[in-house]
Amino acid sequence: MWILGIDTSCDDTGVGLVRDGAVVVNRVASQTLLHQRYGGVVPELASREHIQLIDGLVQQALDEAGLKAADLDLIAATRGPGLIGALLVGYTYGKGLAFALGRPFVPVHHLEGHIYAALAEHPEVEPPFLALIASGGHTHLFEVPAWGTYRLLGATLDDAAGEAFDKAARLLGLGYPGGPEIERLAGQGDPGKVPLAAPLQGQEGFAFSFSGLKTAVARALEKGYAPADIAARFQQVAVGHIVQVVTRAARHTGLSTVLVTGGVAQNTPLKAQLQAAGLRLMFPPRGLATDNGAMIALAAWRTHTRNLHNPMALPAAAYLPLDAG
Amino acid sequence: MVLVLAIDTATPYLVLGLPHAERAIRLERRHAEVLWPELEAFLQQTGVSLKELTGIAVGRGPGSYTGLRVGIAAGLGLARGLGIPVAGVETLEAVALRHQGPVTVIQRTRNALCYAACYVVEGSQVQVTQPPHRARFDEVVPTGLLTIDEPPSGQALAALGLAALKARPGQVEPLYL
Ligand SMILES: Nc1ncnc2c1ncn2[C@@H]1O[C@H](COP(=O)(O)OP(=O)(O)O)[C@@H](O)[C@H]1O
Ligand SMILES: [Mg+2]
Repeated sequence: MWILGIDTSCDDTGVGLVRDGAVVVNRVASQTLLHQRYGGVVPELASREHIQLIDGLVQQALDEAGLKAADLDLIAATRGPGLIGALLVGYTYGKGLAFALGRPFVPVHHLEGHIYAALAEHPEVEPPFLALIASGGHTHLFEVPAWGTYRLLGATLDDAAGEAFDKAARLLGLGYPGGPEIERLAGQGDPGKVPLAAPLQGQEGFAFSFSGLKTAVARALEKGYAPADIAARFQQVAVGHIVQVVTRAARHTGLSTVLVTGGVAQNTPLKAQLQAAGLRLMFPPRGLATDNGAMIALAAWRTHTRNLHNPMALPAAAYLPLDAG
Repeated sequence: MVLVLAIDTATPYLVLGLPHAERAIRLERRHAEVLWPELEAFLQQTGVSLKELTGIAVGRGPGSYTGLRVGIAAGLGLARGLGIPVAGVETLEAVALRHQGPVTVIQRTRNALCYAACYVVEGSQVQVTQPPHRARFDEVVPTGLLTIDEPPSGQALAALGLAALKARPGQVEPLYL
């Protein structure tokens, strides 16, 4: 079964082809350079790029796989969350393709794509499992009891994990994105030298919180601690916090398989500590870690049997919870 | 036999067109969802099957940026799926083609602004005398017949599409005014 996946939720135009659950093509046209000089993603510019690029990208993807459009069995596209004008381009294009081909259209939640990207190289893994999404915009921990079913265990109460790394990095005078910078500087510091309390100690649930940490970094700087020591302590506490919540959720649910996605998943101490906690970890392969279309096709492969009533009538949505559907 | 299907979502209407039929529904928003059942019904009523289509024409506006990209994205996807070419046509030209002689076309947008253009229509031929531009509604000096907030003609979109498919296939860039 051939599935075409499309993601235009933000500033990357992503088109992927998946055959029987295996990624065959993954093409991403990045707009990062275009938006860089504005200091952030400009929604209207992103939409303009998507409408210019989408059809050519689909054609290239089909050519690369040696396929004709008529060979596609299923068309999947990101429904949300994301920038509505950007989403609408890929989502509507996908519907048009499905309509013309008389093939099913599968709306996919963007986070669903990120979750299943972690299984791209682990076809043997079946639910139930836990899924941790820790990126610049999200910090969510889901229980996935069955393909396409999600129960939100906890999310951040304030900043996203990656956002915390970015903000702390800025305070420390480091570059963007802050995650890798903090990780590098932390390697030269001693975490034991800086007192910095762990967030949400004693909570019963699975929530995350990072904004207090950021404030503590600012205070530590004022008190004159060395940036490397602060970075080391910040990373130790932030990573420890994530590991603590995830391991408690694993104990609570009896699940030991954890899918870890989002930019923060690239943090080496985080990986090492989750591993040391005896968890079976799944990470997305390189090209599938950031926004792409192949992960949307992967999600459709896992969830398309879920019977949606009239998916062509489902609107794209800027805000969309994952555990409601 | 050539048979062009036209889609225009640049105005508050969803307009579907074939050389011999049109469907125009006032929607304000939600073009993206209503499009598919309407298209299905339109093809059924006109007795046209998707397989018979030889080209797709999409309205390039001017109009709401997000709105007109919906029609263009739909047209691009349809054309790719059917393996037929797609071309863009100017929405206001297809409004003018509902009339004869000198025509001033106005589409109002929010806050007293509008898109305006002037044409001279003779039979099925249309000549641009003032290309589409943004203007204050009360500052437009109309020549000839004035039409305000009228949807483009579906048949005219299809007819313009036929010419555009020959002259500028693949050119669907929205008119960002
Ligand atoms: N090694 C790392 N350690 C911690 N955080 C990291 C690391 N690498 C990247 N990040 C963080 O990941 C985020 C980017 O991840 P990404 O999945 O692209 O998120 P988004 O698309 O939501 O911005 C940034 O906030 C960045 O600081
Ligand atoms: Mg993402």
